[in-house]
Amino acid sequence: MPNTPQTGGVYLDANILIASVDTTDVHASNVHKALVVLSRFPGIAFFISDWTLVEMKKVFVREKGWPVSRANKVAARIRKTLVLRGHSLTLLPITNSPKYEYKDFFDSLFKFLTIDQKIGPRIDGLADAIHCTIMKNNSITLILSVDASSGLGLAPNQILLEPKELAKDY
Amino acid sequence: MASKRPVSFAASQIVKKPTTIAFKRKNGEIVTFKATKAVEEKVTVKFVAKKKI
Repeated sequence: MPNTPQTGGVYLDANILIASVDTTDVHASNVHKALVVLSRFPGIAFFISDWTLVEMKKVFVREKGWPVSRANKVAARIRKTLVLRGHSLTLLPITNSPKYEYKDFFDSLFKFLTIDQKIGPRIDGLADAIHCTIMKNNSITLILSVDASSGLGLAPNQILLEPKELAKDY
Repeated sequence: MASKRPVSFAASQIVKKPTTIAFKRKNGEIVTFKATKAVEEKVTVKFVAKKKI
């Protein structure tokens, strides 16, 4: 089956923002290279959501020990400028549909998180389920994340790209 | 008294599978990368149920 070249958007997981902002992060080099590699392909755009920024702030404060004010400042700057280390970002809404309601959002989360008859939850973790819902609502299938080994939750047909793989083309 | 008998039913789960993804350079060259794709898979779950008789 032919592999059709991708166009459109790549959703950035919170760890991509973290590794881009904190250059001492263990993934910083590969993430920088991956963003450069992706940005060279025509028609590829980078997307984030408010949820990405919330997760980024949480990691900075709880895991990296940043003061809340510093984390807030960084998140506010990214949200305002929509630029990440020279790369333009687009802030995704939860949905573009005017008919979308809170009920639809929670129905989607419920569907992803529901334990499926003795097998287990379809997506393990509320945070990942929220990302999946936002991606699905905005018709985005690609996500860039360093979380592959820890089991990033994905919805059907969503595709995980890893910075270390893309960095080989730097 | 209870007897054990196997019960099976169909269910679905999300499974991650290796895939390749292609991008096109400005000069038209196609480049591929390894990636991971989530797919929905039908599975049959079997377990032993206890039935009181």
